[in-house]
Amino acid sequence: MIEVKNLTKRYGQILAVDDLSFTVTQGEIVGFLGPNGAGKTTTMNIITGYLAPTEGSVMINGFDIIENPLEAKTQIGYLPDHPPIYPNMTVWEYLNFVADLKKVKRAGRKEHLEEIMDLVKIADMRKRITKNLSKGYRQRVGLCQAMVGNPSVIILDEPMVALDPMQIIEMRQVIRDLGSRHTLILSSHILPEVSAVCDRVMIIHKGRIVASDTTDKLTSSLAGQNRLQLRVKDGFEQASGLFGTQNFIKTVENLGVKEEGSVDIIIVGDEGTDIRELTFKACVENNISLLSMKNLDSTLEEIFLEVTASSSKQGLEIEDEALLAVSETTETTVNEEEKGICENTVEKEDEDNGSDN
Amino acid sequence: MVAIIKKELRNYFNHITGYIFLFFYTVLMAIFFIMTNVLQQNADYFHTLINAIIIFMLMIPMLTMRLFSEEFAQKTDQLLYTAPISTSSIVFGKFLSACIMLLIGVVITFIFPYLISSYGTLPISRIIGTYIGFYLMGCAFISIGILVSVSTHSQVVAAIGSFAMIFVFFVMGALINAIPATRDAGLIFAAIISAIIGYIFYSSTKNTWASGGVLAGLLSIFGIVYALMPSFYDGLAIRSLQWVSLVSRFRSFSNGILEVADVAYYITFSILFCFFAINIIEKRRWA
Repeated sequence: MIEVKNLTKRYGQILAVDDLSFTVTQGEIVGFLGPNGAGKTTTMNIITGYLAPTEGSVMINGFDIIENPLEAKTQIGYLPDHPPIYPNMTVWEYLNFVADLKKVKRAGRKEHLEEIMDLVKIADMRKRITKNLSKGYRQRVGLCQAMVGNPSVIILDEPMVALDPMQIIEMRQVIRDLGSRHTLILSSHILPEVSAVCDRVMIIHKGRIVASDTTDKLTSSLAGQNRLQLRVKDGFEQASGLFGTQNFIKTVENLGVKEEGSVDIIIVGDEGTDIRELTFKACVENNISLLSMKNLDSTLEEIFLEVTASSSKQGLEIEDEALLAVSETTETTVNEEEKGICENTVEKEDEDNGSDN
Repeated sequence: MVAIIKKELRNYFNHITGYIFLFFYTVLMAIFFIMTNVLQQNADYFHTLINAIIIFMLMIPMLTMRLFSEEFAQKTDQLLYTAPISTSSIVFGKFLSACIMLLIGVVITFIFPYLISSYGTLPISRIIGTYIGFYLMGCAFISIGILVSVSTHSQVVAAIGSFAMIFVFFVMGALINAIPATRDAGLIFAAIISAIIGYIFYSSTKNTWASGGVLAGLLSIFGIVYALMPSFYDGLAIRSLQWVSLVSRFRSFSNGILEVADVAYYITFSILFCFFAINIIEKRRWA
């Protein structure tokens, strides 16, 4: 259980973390999401006691990180953004040193280390000098280090960086397993990672939490937009001529020609209505061939952009920039979503294959 | 703390530094031994030790330069500071590991008095006394090296910095002679010390008014002392600097006199510098 109250950190004039308050309950997996420089790493460094806050308090299972640092730190395993590995030690020596540091009892230590090494799949690397390991393996040794001593809270700063797609899938599994036994915070600037493993997402921007909810609720909060992406035969003129006159449609947007002899458009209907059937009927009545229809649910990406952009708007001079960014991103999000869908199917296949084996 | 000592000692020998240190330390000691005892047909081994203290200037930076700078550069300090272990255990663990390395080097050189002992009886107590002073002085220099290593991310800077610091302590004896023993010099010295303490207070609290108050308080105390007992300022600078002169303390050891005050002095000096190092680390966390 982690309780963060009114956390503020200033580096001279720069405000890195601004009055952050949240609670993470036992057994929850929480994701910190935010652009680079949002204050994710600083927050984690404060929670783990590496940095001291300018104001505010952090309680780990009832121990204050400033008042009772040793008790609080025993509860935490931390993987910083750069795995803290000594290049001249072997993996086994290193993990033993960490166990010494964390005062893990001699009895049963070997079994414990074997177990966590199996979990992150570095058991056959134990005699290798860590400086000769690839970055992905170093990352896993770093994760293993955070698990030494079975701390009840595990904090991971960008754990998926430098892993290949197969390892990312494995890592997600490891993190989900960990989440069932530990309280877990992880940070990332990549959305699918966070939405894939976390129960709850906190979007951090400029040192503040701009949104915090379960992944499902965050996506449904913007789902009222009701947007469809269509691919219709004939040109944009015919299509917009049709949809522009339908009263259930608010706007029509041209995405250009993606397939010869057709055009891609996005139509946005009234909020809270299902426009799929109406669209289909309208096409049939007006003899327009509909080649594909896709529901554009708002993804975490869009929510992310929306909340970060809206908090940027508070500054007047950057308002236009933010608007620009939003209009640009509507295009990119579609492409990204397509990519995301591809990835998801690939992953599903991988997972299926994995379970076959 | 034991975990840190074990890790540092392993690191010395996993890395080439441990072997290089022991090799050059032994070779340099052997050179001094040959120059002082063998070539001059001199049986007083403690002369070798007195001459050899200059080795510290080269060898101690080698032991201490990587202790903290390397951790910062590799970002492994994050592991240490987030582990359930206090900052003082980290600093003293590293300090003791360097002291153990120096002890290994010192023990190896026991071979030289053993070589002479076959040609006659040695003043054992005098040699032991000199060795104790020699080793304690080395430990005090290690604490200086640790303080420098804590202040920088670069091993090279740490090495050069500790070399320079130790050099200052070596030449301090000569510097002291150049300082006038007049009352005015004592007053200026007191003012400089007040300014330094005021600045340290300011840099750790960033509170202009409080630091100004500390400075004013110190200056007024010195003023009152001057009004009541002006003779206090006669030769104050010299007395103060002699007190921090590590090398001049060594003389009594080499005379075979083992005085508790001198032993306590070296140990206090080392602990004080380790505390400065702890302070720097803690301050950085709050910055």
